[in-house]
Amino acid sequence: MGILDDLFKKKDKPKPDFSGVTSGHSSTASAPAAGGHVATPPPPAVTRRTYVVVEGDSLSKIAKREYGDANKWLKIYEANRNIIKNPDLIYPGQELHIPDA
Amino acid sequence: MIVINRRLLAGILIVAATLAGCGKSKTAPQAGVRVADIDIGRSVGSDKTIADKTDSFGAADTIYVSVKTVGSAPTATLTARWSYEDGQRVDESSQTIAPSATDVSEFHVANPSGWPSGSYQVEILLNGTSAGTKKFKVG
Repeated sequence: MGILDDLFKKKDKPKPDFSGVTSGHSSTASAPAAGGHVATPPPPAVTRRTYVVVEGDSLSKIAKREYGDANKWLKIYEANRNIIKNPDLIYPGQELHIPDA
Repeated sequence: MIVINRRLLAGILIVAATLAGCGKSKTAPQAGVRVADIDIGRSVGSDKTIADKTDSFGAADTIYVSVKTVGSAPTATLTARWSYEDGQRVDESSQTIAPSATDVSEFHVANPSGWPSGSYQVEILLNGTSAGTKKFKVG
């Protein structure tokens, strides 16, 4: 009987209650950016200037005036392919987009 | 004589292969972050490392576990899973960090009504994967 009593006593041993346990944490590491991702800088704002062609202009002249480099005419041409069909022919009054250098 | 030479050759090849295997690292270098060290004790310093390491606590003690991580990652989640000898969950808490180079993070638990005597363990998980376990006793 003694052995059985011991067995029952062991079986009836109440489970410890850990409901009152409090916890916390800290770290030398920094917290990640919101959402768990590293913040990426916003893309630079794109500014679009315009230039109205006057008589005697050419793309290289405009490039020289806008960028200080006549060889950058292609940049203006590429930005205005919908307006300029032939880079050798631009007309007074045409409004060209001047992309950033 | 030929048989002996073949056996000798086979033996040399086995030894050479064994030595070649010993020279290789058995664990591939891991990219990102990993847990380098886990310590437990009664307090931590401002650098989050354990000031007095021990695996034996009193019923009124606050128990600290300090986790040293090495490596960098945009984000990593450390979890401390505390459990009693019967497998009962004592506590589980997580913290998400942005580790860079070497960092130390700490978790702690306290029981205002006193820790029951017995054996406990705390398991540290890094991004949900077990990174190590520390056992300790109370009483």
